[in-house]
Amino acid sequence: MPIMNNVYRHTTAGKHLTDLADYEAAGGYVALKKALGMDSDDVLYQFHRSGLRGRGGAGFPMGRKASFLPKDSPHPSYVVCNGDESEPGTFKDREIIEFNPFQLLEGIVMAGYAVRSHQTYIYLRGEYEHQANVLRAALAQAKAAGYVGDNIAGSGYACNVTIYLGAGAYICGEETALLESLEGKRGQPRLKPPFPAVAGLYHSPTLINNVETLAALPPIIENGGDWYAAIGPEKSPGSKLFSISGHVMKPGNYEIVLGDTTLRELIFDIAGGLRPGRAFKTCWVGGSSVPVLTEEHLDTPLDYESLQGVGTFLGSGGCIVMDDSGCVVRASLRLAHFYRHESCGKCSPCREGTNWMEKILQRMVDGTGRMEDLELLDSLFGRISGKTLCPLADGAIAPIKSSIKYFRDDFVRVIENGSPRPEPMWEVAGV
Amino acid sequence: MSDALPTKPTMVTISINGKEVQAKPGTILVEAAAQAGIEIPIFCYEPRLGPPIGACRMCLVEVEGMRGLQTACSTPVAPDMVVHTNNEAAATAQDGVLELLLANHPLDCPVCDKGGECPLQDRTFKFGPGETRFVEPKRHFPKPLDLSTEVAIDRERCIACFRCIRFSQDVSEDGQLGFQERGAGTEVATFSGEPYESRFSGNIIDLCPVGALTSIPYRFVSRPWDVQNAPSVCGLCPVGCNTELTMREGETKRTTGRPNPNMTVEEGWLCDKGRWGYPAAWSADRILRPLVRDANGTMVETSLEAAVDAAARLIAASSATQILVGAASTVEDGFLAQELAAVLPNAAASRLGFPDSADLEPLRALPRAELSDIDTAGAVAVVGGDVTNRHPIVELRLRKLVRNRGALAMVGPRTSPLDARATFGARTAPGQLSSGLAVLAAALEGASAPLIIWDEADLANEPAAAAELARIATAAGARQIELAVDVNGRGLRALGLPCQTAPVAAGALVAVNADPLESPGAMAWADAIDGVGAIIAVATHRSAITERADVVLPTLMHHEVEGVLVSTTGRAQRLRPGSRGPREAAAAWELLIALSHRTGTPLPFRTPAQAFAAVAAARPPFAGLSYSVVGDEGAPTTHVAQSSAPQRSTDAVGDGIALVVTTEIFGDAVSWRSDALVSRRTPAHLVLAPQQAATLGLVQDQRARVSSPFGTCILPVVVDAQAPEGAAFVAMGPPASGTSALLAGEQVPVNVMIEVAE
Amino acid sequence: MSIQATLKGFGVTFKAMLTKPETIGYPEHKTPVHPRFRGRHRLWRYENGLEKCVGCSLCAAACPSDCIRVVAEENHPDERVSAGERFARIYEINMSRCIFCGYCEIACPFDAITLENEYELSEYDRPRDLIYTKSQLLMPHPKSVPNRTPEAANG
Repeated sequence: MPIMNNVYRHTTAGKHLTDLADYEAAGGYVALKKALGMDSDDVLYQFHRSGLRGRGGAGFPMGRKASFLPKDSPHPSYVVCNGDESEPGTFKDREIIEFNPFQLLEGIVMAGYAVRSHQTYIYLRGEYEHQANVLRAALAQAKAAGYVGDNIAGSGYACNVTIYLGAGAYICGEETALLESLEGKRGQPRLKPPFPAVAGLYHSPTLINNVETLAALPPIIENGGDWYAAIGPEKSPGSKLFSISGHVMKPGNYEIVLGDTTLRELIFDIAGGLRPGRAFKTCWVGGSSVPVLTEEHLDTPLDYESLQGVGTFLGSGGCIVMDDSGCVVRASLRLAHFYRHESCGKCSPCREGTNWMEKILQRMVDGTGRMEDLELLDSLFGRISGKTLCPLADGAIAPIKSSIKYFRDDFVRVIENGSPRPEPMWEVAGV
Repeated sequence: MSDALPTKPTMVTISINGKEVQAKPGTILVEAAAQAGIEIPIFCYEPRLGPPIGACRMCLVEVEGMRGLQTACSTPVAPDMVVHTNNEAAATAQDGVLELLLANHPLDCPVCDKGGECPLQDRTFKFGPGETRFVEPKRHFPKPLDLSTEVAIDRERCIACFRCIRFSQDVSEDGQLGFQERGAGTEVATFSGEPYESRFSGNIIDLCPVGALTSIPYRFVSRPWDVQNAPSVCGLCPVGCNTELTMREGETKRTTGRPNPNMTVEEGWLCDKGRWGYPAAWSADRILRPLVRDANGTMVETSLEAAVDAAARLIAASSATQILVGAASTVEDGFLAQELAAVLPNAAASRLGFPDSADLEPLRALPRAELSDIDTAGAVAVVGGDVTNRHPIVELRLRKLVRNRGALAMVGPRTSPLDARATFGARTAPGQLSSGLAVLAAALEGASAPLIIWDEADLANEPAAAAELARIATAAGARQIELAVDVNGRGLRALGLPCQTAPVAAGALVAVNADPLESPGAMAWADAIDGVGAIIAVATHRSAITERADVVLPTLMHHEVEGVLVSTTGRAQRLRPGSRGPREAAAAWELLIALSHRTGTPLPFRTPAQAFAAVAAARPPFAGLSYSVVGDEGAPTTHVAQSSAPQRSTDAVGDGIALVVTTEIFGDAVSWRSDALVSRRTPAHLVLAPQQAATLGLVQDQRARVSSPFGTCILPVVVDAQAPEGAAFVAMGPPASGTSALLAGEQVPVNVMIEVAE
Repeated sequence: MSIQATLKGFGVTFKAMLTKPETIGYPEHKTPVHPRFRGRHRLWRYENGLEKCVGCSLCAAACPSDCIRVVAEENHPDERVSAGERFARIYEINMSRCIFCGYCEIACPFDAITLENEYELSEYDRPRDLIYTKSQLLMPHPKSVPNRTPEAANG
């Protein structure tokens, strides 16, 4: 079974690494010491060589992003870790923070060294109270051991890490909204350009990366960027944590090499398949804001390019599976409700559009839909998509638009008859 | 011609809708298109509020070579850019944004005050959908709610364009307005649900592109097609903000910023006093009918004709005549008073207000600056004065200076909300401005385009500081802005009207918008007034002088007359009437001309324009000006050194502690007369530092008897930990509070004794 | 002139003598008007008694002879006058200026004003009697006018 476990140390070690001694025994902090012995630019170059793509959802190469930070800025530079893991179906960062916090701390200090920053922030979603406590305890240990703070590991390099808990808004996973929130303002995306690399936190150069991305840095430095680049396909190198949930027998986080595994293998082999007697209906492969897939796409390899080839995105790797007991229209309504609730309200198309979409879908589910509502929805998608500051609205449209595309018959049936309440979800796990 | 060196192009050429447009590099597309006469619809874009935020998405246009549609409000022009603002992609996007904005926007346009002058209406007609496809019930909020006593908020109509919030946070910097909730439930609110209290709160009404924020005094008063608008100038403080007066059926119904603001002066912002001061025109003490004292000594109402005749007879019968012009009078009023005095036998004209001082000449001789120069200065030093209360719009400019990363230095005895934003600050003891000036030299040194802003009254009383400041400013190459005390003090001084600091002895007194009994030196006037043979009061409202007058001629307020005022920076600006005023009242210029005719010495003027033309010909500071030159935007007057300005005595008079006076923004007569400002009024009061209050045995809200060598008044005490020790700070309040009795006509520094009032 | 022409002329005269006269005995009998005849204005109420007019002044804006004056005020929650937030405190039509074009009716977003069929509007005093106030306009005109039925119009 192509499960791989050489990037995130807690899987290799087979236990929770919340104690610094355990983490060091599992090979931790070797990489940081190595990095601090290198030139900052060399560290950055290794990131670049690795081809590591951002694991938060957009998949932008991390090394390239870091190289955008101006070196001659009069302002200090910052590294911000995006731990606002709010995407429905995604819980990979939680796993790293909870069971392997030191790898994140090691990675963020390393990234700080590469971009010559002395202050880094870890922004966690408001609901991660427990995870924040784990991380705080780990930070205290790391500080005591000299891995965070002044003169890290005797190198003379100083880097502070501050943990910041958000207030519970999905939009704060968007990098500029996260920066606004971190500055103590209302979490709303900023107009870009300027990009955070030039004017981010406090109008200063800022590198902002996902938890999983930063946690992948120590093995890259330890083994070299080329080692990482050699794993998986050329354009999507490395391994990725997939969170799989929904109508599968063994939901959870799985680290797999990109490109090696197909969606079918992920669902039917790794995650234990569907409940007995049920057929596959659809899945949201990269979190809830990507277009859905159907049975015909099951043999697609899981990597950035292949998934784009079938019209969806790898996203954050949160794969939600639905079997034939679910109703696509009702699922669309649930997602529309989520995005309506989480829209920050800054851009008019998103603020009003997500609200309207939910209302139309609600009517359909209630049995008062009209056939022309499908055309209305389609026209509405066109009027919202690509018209906003951030991708939230596009994320709200993608799953619904693709659901209508693949499951139009279901929509027609629901418009004609309404949608009955689904059976209780807890039967799924066989509880 | 030699081969040109490669230089940075001064203009870039772009194509908008196939039309070639030249624009300066860095110009935002919306502006570049507007210059070419192409309208790109906008809602949130407002350059006066800071950098664009791209929230409303209304201005989406297609730029060839760029992925997707771009917001024209945030995209700068680039060479050879090809832009389409009305092709299918852009037009569909604009139509789409409008459809979405209207999805939850109530269609109560017939009820809404914004109907007819609503950008959302206009843009929907021009760029929007004809019909909505939104069949669901619309969003509902309780409406309308009072955001403050003057501003109503209707959240259903709000399109969340951020303008009011950006004003509150980035312009007036009061930080009170913000968004509550999110997504479709987003609503504008104060953080704690408290009323929005800002000296500039009315500007959010002008900014709102829909009818979500409306003026409560103007609520349902008229519709845009029922009114005439007149571009005018506010006559309530010396800043001279450009306003637009809305007149319906002969009455001013509203004051707003101009639709095309005067970027040199007020940038479109008005303070709340300027915006809601107009209802003072129909306060209970407004003089509506002419009054003449009959044989029994009682005042009887009469016609204007008869009253002017009576006044002329009194003047003709007097051996000498003194015409006293008030500080808010127009240039024309002052000039006609001079002309009338010239033709009447044994007559003189003078003004009431802050006296001239030769000591200020070195400062006035420095190159003058406009208020807009504050924005771009590297460093600005404010010496004395109280801009927050007496020149409110200057405060907004100073805040902008700090946002633009310019250095601000504040020196003077009074505390200010700007202190927290100042780079350099020195609270000096009263009469000790010189001690704070050393820090200024450091602040101005080496700064680009440095400026000094100095207060007329504070520096006139400290000649040494004035000389030192002039020296520092000259060394730093700084330009200067004077903070004048009187509304049109500069204009009347430029006419050569001497300041009347002592009571006149005998004959007839013609007081034009002037009440010496309610001005500094009032006690001396009160003693002398019985010796005056006849008093003719040309006044808008009842006051001490109208009670004593033999003839009262009702006249018009600043928003009811034609004329010219000179602002604190020396700009001549035109007042235009936005109201016909009371039926039996006439403008002061008209009454002065009428008096000249009835006294048999007619002046050769029939209109204020003729009078102003004569001013331009006869008075060097106004040379070259005329109504058409002054136009809508104003024109600078020239500073001419006054050879005859008197030397002032500047030694403090009296025993006790130093008196520092100011007038709070809502503490003057207009605020007390305007029923729109009922909740904002502040009475006269005495501010003491805690130590000082304790020494005097006074506590908060206790009443204190304040006595100077010139007079006495009783004031409530406010203990303020921010106030410097060793001084008595008096907020003057409306005339009835009697605080002006504490001061001498010369307005020299005064010490006061303070004791507990029984 | 021939005799023939004379006879032809008289022929018309004699023919007309035999038809029914069109004369109407006004004022005992009134000329019936067509349903779309534009006569005196009327302001309307909803069935619950609230005025339809919200004082929006659109009629005044549309009026080419500038004969409508509307002064609005805010409705008091305890004493509602109209169905909207505002109502017309003053609604006046200067009937001596009105040209009965019906633009006010077209402009009205609430169908609050219509032009009825009454045409007997003569008065003795212009300012006293010909400026119709809101209370007058809310009442039906005392002098009603017969409507020309479709049959009458055709026949």
